[in-house]
Amino acid sequence: MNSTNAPILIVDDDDDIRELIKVFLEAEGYRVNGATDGLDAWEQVQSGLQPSLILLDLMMPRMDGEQFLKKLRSCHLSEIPVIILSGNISAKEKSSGLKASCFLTKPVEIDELLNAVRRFVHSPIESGLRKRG
Amino acid sequence: MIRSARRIERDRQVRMVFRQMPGAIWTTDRDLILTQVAGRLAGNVGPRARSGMSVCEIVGTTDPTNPIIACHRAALLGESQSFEYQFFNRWYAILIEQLKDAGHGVAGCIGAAFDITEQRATKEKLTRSEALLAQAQRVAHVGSFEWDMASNVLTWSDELHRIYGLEPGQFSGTYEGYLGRVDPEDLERTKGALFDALRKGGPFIDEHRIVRTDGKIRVLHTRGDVTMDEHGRPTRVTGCCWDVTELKEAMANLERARSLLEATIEATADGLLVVDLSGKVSKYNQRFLLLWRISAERASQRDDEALLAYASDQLEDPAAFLSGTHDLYSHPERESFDVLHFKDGRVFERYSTPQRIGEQIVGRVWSFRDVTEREKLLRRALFLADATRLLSSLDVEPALDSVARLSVPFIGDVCAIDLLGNGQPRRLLVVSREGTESLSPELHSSVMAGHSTIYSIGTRSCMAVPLVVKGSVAGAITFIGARKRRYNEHDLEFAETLARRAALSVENARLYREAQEALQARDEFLAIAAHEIRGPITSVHLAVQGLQRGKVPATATPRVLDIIEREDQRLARFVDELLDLGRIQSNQMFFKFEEVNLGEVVRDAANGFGSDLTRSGSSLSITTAGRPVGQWDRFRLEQVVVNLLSNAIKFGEGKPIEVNVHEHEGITTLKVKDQGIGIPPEMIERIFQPFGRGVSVRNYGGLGLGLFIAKTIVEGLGGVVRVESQPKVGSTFTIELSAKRNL
Repeated sequence: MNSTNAPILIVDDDDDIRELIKVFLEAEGYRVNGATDGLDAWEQVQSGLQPSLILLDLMMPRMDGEQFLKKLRSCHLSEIPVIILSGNISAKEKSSGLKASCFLTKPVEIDELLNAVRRFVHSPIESGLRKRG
Repeated sequence: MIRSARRIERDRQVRMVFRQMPGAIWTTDRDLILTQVAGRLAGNVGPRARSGMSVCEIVGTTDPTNPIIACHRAALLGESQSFEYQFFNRWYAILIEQLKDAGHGVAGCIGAAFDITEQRATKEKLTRSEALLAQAQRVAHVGSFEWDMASNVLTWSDELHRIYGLEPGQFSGTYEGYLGRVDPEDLERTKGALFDALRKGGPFIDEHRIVRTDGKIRVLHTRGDVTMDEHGRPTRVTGCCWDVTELKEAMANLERARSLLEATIEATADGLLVVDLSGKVSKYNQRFLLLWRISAERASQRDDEALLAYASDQLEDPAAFLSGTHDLYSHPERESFDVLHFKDGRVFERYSTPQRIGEQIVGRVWSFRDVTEREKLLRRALFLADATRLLSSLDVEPALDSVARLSVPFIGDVCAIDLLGNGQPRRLLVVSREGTESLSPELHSSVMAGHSTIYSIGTRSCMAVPLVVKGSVAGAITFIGARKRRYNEHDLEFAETLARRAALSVENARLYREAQEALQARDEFLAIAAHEIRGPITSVHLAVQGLQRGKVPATATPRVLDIIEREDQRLARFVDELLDLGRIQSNQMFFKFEEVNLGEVVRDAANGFGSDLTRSGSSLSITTAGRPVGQWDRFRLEQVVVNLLSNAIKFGEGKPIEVNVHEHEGITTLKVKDQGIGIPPEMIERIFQPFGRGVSVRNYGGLGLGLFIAKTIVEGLGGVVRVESQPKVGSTFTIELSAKRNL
């Protein structure tokens, strides 16, 4: 379980979804980075970003989620947990082969999303409360 | 003395005569006691008759009814008796009269008997033969006549009466009476023939019709004989008449049957040959000579073996033909059927059956039918059936390959197939018969213009037929014929039939591919639609839940509400597009015509793209010229403009977008020009089709319905849409609309 201050990377070509998730996660105290597609995310990782968790859409331009994940798993960051967030239900069947940590189907419930994130990265606010408590 | 001696001699001679006469002569007294008796009969009756015996003693009875006794008694009474009587198997004519004495008193009887056995037998024979003749005449329907010219008595036999429909004896018996019964139409000729016969004398033959009493007309055949006197004058005509009406009819029927048979034999399309048991030709028709190419001169020689050899020389297998034929001659009862193959490619069917007269086989009838054309048609039909089966495959290139292999060497030594792709012919395959691999036909220019053609390459005959799909040339099949084979119109027609089927197969395969693509496009569309709709729903869902559960900090609330509104509009647009698709597909797209200024529509639409432009980084410039006003549908036109602008922003790669609206002479033109990714040439046609999209959905979202809907709207308003595009340079969409309603 990570509780570092490393950011969560949201990879989704839908600007609105990216922005909404960012709003919710930031309200939980997470740091959030966004990437508009697989290539953008891969470039960020290549230039030194080490996210604590990656929320990954599958169907995206330029480089899709599957391609990105394969690249990720074959580099030094292969241990980073990845939650796939996809509208493609059939992709869930393939997800075992994708070595994803978790699979969520769009449209996703907000609590389901936040719980899934918490399983991999402690919410800094909750951790702070606990520490104070 | 001398006189006395003479008398004695004379008496002796008289007695001798009496003694030896074939009969008897006798006298009796009144008591019927023989007083004198002489003649051979006297010695022949029971006890030898001599003077002093009574008649009763001689006949051996005293019965007064005995004819001899009764006749003697009657003669005593003065009645001369004359009768025939049989003694000891011989017949006698007996005459008994009264014998008078010198005083004219009754002295007794004198009788005489003459042996008439032979005469009587002759007479009986005559009677019998007359009866037989009459019977024979009756049975044979032969009548006889005799005409005594001096007395003009014409005597007819009973049967001749019956032939004329008369009762025996009814005929008047004169020459004139006879002429009256001759059919008037034959009268003059009959008289002429008779006069001729009378003039010449001797035997004559004539035939003429008569009219019977019942009105029926019969034909009489007459054979007669004219007897002449010593001066050469006819005195008597005798003869026989036959009623030959039935015979004549039978003969006429026979002649009709013969002529019918003759005409039938000549009229049939089959060659016919009739031979006797030894194979000698007895009859043939002209068709037979024609089929076997036998000259009339050769046929007239009737040299059977030579004919057989001449015929067999024309065949592919003369030995089999000759042995089969000879085998049949040794089995006259057999029927046969076989097929003869000629060296020149002709095919005959040969059928033979024994010729019978009653039960007896007297020869054999052969019939020959030229089935070359039928065989050819049959083989072609089979070939076409095979080819059609092969061509029914949707995998068209292997199918064409199989058909080409099937057609060599059936149609030619070489078969080449070319297909036209992007306007350029491409040689799909060449199939060659062994030994002709070096031959590869060029594609003939006229076949590419859609014309079937027969031509030559060197000494080889060639033909080429186009594969026409939907009225345009999609390829060609070219054949090089076998050595010596010259293609003709029929061959070309056949090749065209094959080409039509091949073209159909090409077309079917294309339709199938298109159908598959359409299905795939639909499936893709459904996947895309699901994906595209899932995006905004997810956003709205998350935003609403976040607000409800207090997960949205107050500072972020306006942004979240903006997102909800934007995604709501996106969803509404999807629904609108889907509804429009449904309207278009069910022909329910209606327009509300009003005066619309396209410049205003463009400016209004552009205003809605502010944030999109900002996000994309593209700039938008709008220029107008003229008065771009017309009778259009404002709402639908706005849809078109929005669509073109959103495409330009989406695919514009952040580079400047220029929109130009200008009107010239009532025609309003809208151009939307971007400098983005452009469209590859092969995709140009697809982008206006439903579910068609020039790019992968992975890279660019959207339902792919926009341009299809835009095109449908513009065409519905009487205008046209065009696109010019170059990959990596950009696209320009142009719309032209007439100011007036132009439907």
